[in-house]
Formats: sequence, C-alpha cells, structure tokens
Amino acid sequence: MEITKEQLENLANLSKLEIEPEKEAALTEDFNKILSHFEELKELEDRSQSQLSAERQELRKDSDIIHPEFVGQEAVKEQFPEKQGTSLVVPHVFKKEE
Amino acid sequence: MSYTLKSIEKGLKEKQFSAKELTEQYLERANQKNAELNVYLEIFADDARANAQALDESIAAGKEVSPLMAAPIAMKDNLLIEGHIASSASKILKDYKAVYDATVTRKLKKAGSIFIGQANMDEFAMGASTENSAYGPTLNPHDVTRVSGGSSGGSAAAVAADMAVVALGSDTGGSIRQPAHFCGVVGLKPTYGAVSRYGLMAMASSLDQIGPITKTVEDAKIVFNAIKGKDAYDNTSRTADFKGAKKNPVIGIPKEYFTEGLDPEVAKEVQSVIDFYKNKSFEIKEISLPHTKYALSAYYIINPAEVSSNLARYDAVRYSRDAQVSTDTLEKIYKQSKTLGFGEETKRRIMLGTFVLSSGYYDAYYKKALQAKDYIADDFTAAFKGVDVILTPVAPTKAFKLGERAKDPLAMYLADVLTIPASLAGLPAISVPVKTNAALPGNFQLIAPHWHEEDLFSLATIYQNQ
Repeated sequence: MEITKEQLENLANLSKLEIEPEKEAALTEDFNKILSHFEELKELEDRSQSQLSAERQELRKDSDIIHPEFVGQEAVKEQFPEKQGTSLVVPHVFKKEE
Repeated sequence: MSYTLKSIEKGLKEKQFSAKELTEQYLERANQKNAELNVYLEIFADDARANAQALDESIAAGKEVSPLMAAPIAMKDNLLIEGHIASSASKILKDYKAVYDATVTRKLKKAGSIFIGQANMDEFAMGASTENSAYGPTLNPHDVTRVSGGSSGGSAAAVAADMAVVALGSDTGGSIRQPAHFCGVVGLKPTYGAVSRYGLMAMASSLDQIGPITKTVEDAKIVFNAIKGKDAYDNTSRTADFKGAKKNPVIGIPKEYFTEGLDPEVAKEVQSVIDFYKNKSFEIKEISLPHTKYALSAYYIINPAEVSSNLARYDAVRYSRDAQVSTDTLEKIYKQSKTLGFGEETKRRIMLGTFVLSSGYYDAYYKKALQAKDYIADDFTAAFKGVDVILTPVAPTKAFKLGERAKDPLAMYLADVLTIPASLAGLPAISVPVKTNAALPGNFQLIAPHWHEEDLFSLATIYQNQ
C-alpha cells in the first residue's frame, strides 16, 4: 500500500490540517515507509470473536444496549428542578473531594 | 546533594533540615541546571517556598512526618496542577492554565509533597527523545550531546540531575521506562488501571498510565502506593486485588528480546543482571513470546488512531486560539490553529490515525492491530504459566545523539520496540539501572502479571541493594 500526494492532501483535509507544499514529498515518503512496516501484520491469522481476549469481549456490546423510548420534554425537564433565569441547572455528577 | 524519600523523612524527623531549607536547595539546583539541560518548562519557586513554609509550620505544630512529606517533585507537563500552565510541551496549549488538580496531584499534595515545576516532554507524549517538545529538547545529564529519552525525558533528567527527588511521568508505549534507561534512574509503568488518569492529558487512552521516576526502587514503591487506587473520576481505574511478592520467583528470559539490533553493550549488561540472579539461586528459564515482532506495528496503528480522536478537542475554540488565526470560518479556525499549534510528529500521527480508521483501511490496519494486541497479550498469559517475572532489556540502544533520529520517524519508533509489548498487554513493568562502569547508564526491564507490582519491587530491590 502506497499513498499518493492526492490521498495525503485528502487525509490532511479530514484531519483539519494544512500541509506546506514543500513538506508534502517528505511526509509522503515517511508515510509510505511506516505503512510498509505495517504490512507484516498481514501475516497474522484473523481471529474470530470467540477467540478474542475476555477483556475485549467485554467491550462494545452494542447489541445489548436498550434505547429507551423518548419520554417527552416535560419528563426530561422534571430531572432538572433547579433553574437559573430561563436555563435549567444541570446537577453535579460528582461532588468535589477533599 | 542526593536525597531519597527515606533520607528526607529521616532528616525532617531528626531536624537535620526543614522543608523550607530542603526546598531552597532543590530550587537553587533546578535553576542552576535548567539553563544547561532544559528540564523544567516552569519552576514554581513562589508556590514551592510557600508550601514548604506551611509544611514546616504544621510539623512544628505536631503534624507527624511521613515518607512523601517535603519531597521535591517534578511533574510531567501533561499532568494538571491547578493554577499552573500545563501545555504538554505544545504551542497549542502554551497559555492553558489548569483549572483543577489531577488525582495524582491531589494525592501528592495531601501527602505534603512540594512541586518544583513542570517537566519537559515530547509534545503530547509522542516521541522517544523530547526532541518533539515545542520548547526544545531536554539534554541527558550524563552526556549533554545526547537525548534524555522520551516522552518523559524531562522527568527522568530531573531525577538524574538531582533537580527533584521524585518525578511523575506517563507511559503509553515506554515513555517512563525508556527515559529512565537513558538517564540511569528507576521508572515504573503500573498495571493499566492501577493509577487514575484523571487530570492526565489523554494521548492513547487505552494504553496511557501514570507512574513514578525515582533514584531507588524503594522510593518508586512509596510513590506508587501513594498514587494508586480506584478513582470515581476515571472509570478505567480499579481497586484491584494487588498481589503480594512471591518467594523465589521464576524469571523468564524471552528469546525474542535478544535478537539482531540489540546493542552489544546493552546485551552484555542485561546478561550481567541475569547472571546476578542466577548466582542468587533464582531459577532462570528461556521463554518465547512469539508475536513480539508485531508489537511495534500494532502500537503505531492503535496509538495514532486514539491520538487522532483525543487531539480533535484542541480546536482553538475551547483551547488556545492563536492571534494569527483567521476567524472567517470555523473550518479556517480549526485548520490554521492546528497547523500552527501542533508539531510535525503530532500532525503525522493525527493523519496516520485518520488513515487507519478510515473506510476501506479500518479492517486492514486498525482491526488487524487489535488482533495483534490480543495475540501479544495471550503470549504473556501463556508465559506467566511457567514463570513469575520476565526480564528483558529496556531499549535496543543506550541514549542516542541529539538529532540522530529526528528526521527518521520509523527509527525513532524503534526506540520503543522492547517496552511496547508490556504496554499493549496492560502489564506492570519496571526499568532498573544496571550496575556498570560504562560511560552511559543503562537499565534492565522486569515485567510481571497484572497487579503483581510487588514482585517487581521485590526482585528489583534485591538487585539494587546487592
């Protein structure tokens, strides 16, 4: 895998960065050197979900998340009884520890 | 002048010196050596004096002297101390003043420690030499033509040059252990989750961990015990079941860490440590960690991926807008601020991270790297069925010359090749100075299973106290 000048410019744009034209060639060369080092990972066999470590299996169980139905604006407002002018005050999640 | 936490405790108890006198000594030394080494980005002279004075008054009023009391401490510049600038050695945060204390700061303040200053580092902890600092590199106290290591190079140099007794650093892929090796001091990367990361500027959140840098293993243990533990502000922190030290642990030597590219002087020194433990009748076993060679690639995919996400917050809306930046559109504010504010390595990693997470490349790079991480963790799990602690070199070479690798990012990344595997597996590891007559210091690394820091302290102490 080699990236081109155009791909580099697109990446910079996605990253919200500007690359000075005189640095483009060196940066492309660095990128390609690094990416060619990563090629060695292709030697590794893919692991199925069941082979993943227990720690990683605990992560991202997106399917288990239950999204409650929207309960209406008034019910949400009730969660914020304190007001400052027209604004609702969000209660502290944590109390400052000493 | 070379104090340890124990000698400070004794000195205060026996009234050999006051906290104020000790602080003055370290402030003088810090100011004098900083011009030469560029260790501190800021020295907190007024605060340090005031805090030392208050401490002396409380001791005079009967407060009991404890081990971290009056300890002069250097904080890596990515750790927050309320009211002080914390810039992560980046121009983009040059004016950012911390509005709260990191949990480790709060714990050390409570213990009566005195903060001497914010220590230099590679920008946002990306680097192995502190040459990526926006404020210039920290020089190695043993040879000023060489780097101090990174990314916690300022922290390690502060302890090595007696500009602090203790320093805190952060270690993502070796950023405590490698500079400790280059500067000849002790550096501990605790188990992932052992120390709260609240108030540490996030770089690669799944790997970042805070740890101590000290002269002795005993001091590292004291600091670790003071800063460890579950914190409501960091959900990855845990009150784990820390294990006690094993008697006569079996030491594993992984053959994959002693291959081509290892400097013969480093290999010889690490062999002398293996021989020491052999002579002390410890059982030594050769082991294999077969996926070690994939660690560097996996790390330099996972790390930039997380960097690209974590550093998105520095958008000049919430932090440090530069006066030169155009305010025509939000897009221009983002682009110009990041381009002016970030250094070259930071920009490279943000772009690399954006690349490996982008559609079409995610499976080929990021997913593959996560699988490699799993293989590496499994290697350690299998190895720890036969041994209790693993002994390795810390880095392939000793401190290299300033500028030697600055233009070659891959060569710089290779400095972390022997510390990254333990980071990917979330394991605790300690970097301990080898007793040597060589011109440059060098360390060895001990790696233990999760929550087995005591095994590291115990085995390292036997070597250090020989």
